Amino acid sequence: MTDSPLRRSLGWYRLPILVVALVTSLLFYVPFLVVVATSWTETSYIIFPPDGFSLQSYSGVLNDWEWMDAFKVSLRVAGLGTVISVALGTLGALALTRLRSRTARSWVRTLFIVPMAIPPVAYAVGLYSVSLRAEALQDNLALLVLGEALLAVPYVFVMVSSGLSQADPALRPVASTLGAAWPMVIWRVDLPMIVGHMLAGAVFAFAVIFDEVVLSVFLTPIGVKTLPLQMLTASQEELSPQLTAASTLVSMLAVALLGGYSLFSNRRAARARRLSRKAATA
Amino acid sequence: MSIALSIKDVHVTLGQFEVLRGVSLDAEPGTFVTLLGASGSGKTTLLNVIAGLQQLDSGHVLFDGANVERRPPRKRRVGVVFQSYALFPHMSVGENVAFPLRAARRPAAERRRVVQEMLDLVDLGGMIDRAPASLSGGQRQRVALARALASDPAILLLDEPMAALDKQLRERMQVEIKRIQQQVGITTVAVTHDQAEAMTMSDLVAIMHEGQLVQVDSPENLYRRPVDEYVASFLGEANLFPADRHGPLPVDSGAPATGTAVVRPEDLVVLDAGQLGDRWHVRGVVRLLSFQGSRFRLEVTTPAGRSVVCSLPPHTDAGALLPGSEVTLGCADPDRVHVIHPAAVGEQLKLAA
Amino acid sequence: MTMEQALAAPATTRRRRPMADGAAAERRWLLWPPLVFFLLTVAGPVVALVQQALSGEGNAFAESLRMEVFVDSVWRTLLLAAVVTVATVVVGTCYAFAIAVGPVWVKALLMGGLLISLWTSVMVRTIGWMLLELPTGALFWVLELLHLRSEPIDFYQSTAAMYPAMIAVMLPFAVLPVLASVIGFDREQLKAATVFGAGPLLTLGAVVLPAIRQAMISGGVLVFVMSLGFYVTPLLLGGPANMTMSGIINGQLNTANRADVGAAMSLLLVGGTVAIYLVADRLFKVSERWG
Repeated sequence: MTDSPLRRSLGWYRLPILVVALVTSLLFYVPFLVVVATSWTETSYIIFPPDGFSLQSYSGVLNDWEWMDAFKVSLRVAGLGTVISVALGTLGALALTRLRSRTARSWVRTLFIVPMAIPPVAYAVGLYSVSLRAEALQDNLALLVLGEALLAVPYVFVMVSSGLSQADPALRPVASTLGAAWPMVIWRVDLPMIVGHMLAGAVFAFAVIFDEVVLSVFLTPIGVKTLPLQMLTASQEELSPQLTAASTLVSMLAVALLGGYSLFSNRRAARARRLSRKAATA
Repeated sequence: MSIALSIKDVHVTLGQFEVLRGVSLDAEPGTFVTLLGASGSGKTTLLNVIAGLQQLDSGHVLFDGANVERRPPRKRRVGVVFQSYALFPHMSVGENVAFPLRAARRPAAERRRVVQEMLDLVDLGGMIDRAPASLSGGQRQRVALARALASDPAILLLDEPMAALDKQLRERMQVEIKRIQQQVGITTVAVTHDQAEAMTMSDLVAIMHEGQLVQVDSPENLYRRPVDEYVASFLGEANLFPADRHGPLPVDSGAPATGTAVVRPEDLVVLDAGQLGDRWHVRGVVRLLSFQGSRFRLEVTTPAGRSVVCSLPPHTDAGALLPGSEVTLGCADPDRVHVIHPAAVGEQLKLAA
Repeated sequence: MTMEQALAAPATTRRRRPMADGAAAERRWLLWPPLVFFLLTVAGPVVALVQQALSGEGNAFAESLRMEVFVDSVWRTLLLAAVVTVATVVVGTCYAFAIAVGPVWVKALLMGGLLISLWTSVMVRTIGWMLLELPTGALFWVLELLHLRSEPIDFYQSTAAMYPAMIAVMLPFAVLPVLASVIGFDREQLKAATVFGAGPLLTLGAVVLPAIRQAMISGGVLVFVMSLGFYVTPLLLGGPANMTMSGIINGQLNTANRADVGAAMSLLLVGGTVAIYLVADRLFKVSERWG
């Protein structure tokens, strides 16, 4: 691929572009590396460069019920929220393919993307006012889960729609002329084609919900904290290496899970490509 | 002004795959050369080599005797019509055609004049302000051609120019492109996998196979005197029979063969028992007779399972050739049988009467 | 409306046109669950906000707009969002180009940075910036090492401190659409530009940028709109002097105890943001690029 047309077209102008991009990538790497580095200090306060090397703050986090509880709450909220947002986002993406009117399609599309634009603080205040009016929604995580699910729906919708747009549009009419009713078409034709994209959407939605902090500020019952909220609280107090150790742990977990997932899906895609190439040449 | 093109022993490797394996080709100024081959034969790579879009491992490309392989594409004065036409979607037809002139920093007045001239040449004089998306496939191709010719190139390159057109339009555009090429008098290299297209447009057809040029010749010579079995069956339909120095051997005889006889379907006729004599012939059973407008196409299977195709004139009595009936085929004119002899390639042998 | 018609249609016509009614039923079952969910989770909070905004004695909306801190924060937020948008689109476009044309090691490095940013939480990244910018943080350590500075830097919780962090947080949203567009760009058009004599500048300006403009705008609109709701990063890095609208709203509720004013401000923020998105969406077809 040394002869890429874009590379040739850019000529020497690609040097400044590369320099800008590489400098920019520092914005991504440096803060993360600082977080990781400060977590192994032997001191009980945060210092950079770290003083010595120990894993004491890691064991501190893992044995601290406050951090572990927050982690469990986040898992629960993100899990429930992901299920809801995947279901709704997928329904929306499927509905989009079945609408004929151009205006209807464009409104549905906008509707499913607009939650990305909702400012979380204002939305959290709104949900909070709802909870003031409905006692059943106080002292539990229902509103938090629903709100997070709404914020994550666009990501699922985008992923699944892109999967559906790659599918052959003739398959669905074919299935229905062969006598399949619409639920069977969805179950047998659409879902198998987009299951990978649904999974990707689910992973993305989980990550978004797991990381979201603002809604938890307003909506968690007293004494309950999600992990990002616990981090926010900790970052406004005396900075301790436990904070960066927890940050490192959760980031490593995310990198391991998401990296593992994308390796897996890449390999699957590569295998599918190989198979289709084989089929084409055979 | 057009140039003589010369390609000498060009090698190109893409990844681990040797796409061009020693290609040489010479074309006089003003010649229309077509590179004909199956997909993956390296013909588009060769076109890219001429355009300067592909680096060479070794070999030379000469324009009028001058080495150009180190020259970047923009300094080679080539005009290219791409397979997808590659019209810039956000520019009007006129802006597309003006692009090469804009790149060469020509004054606006000259640009306007040349654009009009080029669009008139391709019969699109009134379309200057249209968007490419609003044009039909044939019109887009004409715009691409006008753009390729706008900067007065020394050589015109056409990459599968007809691939995106339907059959009728394709035939019209083949003639049209040939007309424009002759009017401009420009040396032209086209790439195609369509043999009819190659035959219609070209002065010279170069057959490519697995990164090499198998035969470069006029369309007629290629058809009448192919150098090997590949060329014979690639260009038109061909019946291949085992042959020795004297011509085709009795079919299904198992006699030792030293070469291959190429018999074109239109050179085969149906023989009566009386005409047989000691002429060379093929016996078989009719499998299929189909009417194709100007000809009948007859498919015959010999007792040993060899399939023979025969093209008969339209006044043939179809009733006598029903599937399942026995038939004997022979050569109308033994002189038209070409024998490929591996030892003496291209040697023309006469069929003993 | 088609659904109601379908429901109201007599059974006989329904049987005669099974395909059409099947399609209506299909659409109904696919669209209604999400629509009901949106109605509950969006309309519910909005109604509650309106009620709460009207619960105070005076007109909470008018009061918000008279409050100097709020009006200031509106301008500050708009400016911040605009700066972040322009910066992320420009830098993000370079970043996407570099991934497309760079040597393999550059590509891997850049993709790695992008993925770290996508996969780690905003909280973690913001904490990283905090540690970097603290008076004796990592930045100070580097400067000291290079003998460029010996006293602690007075950078943390200033306007300049929050911009790089916010650009880093938002950058992936600007890079991704442009990257998809650059990678999917028609190679023959680039070859055509080269063959017809265009240099890098003409190719970029006349061929490439017009084609990826749409992607740049989509990324930019999204970054702008999301930046309007920024809360955590400005709170931790910008400090009290750089309160965004979100910060002010939080203050009204938790410090000033003016729930009605907070609700009014929330409505203004949500309404404004969504309105901006809808206008941009109609103008530039942003959703179509994403969905």
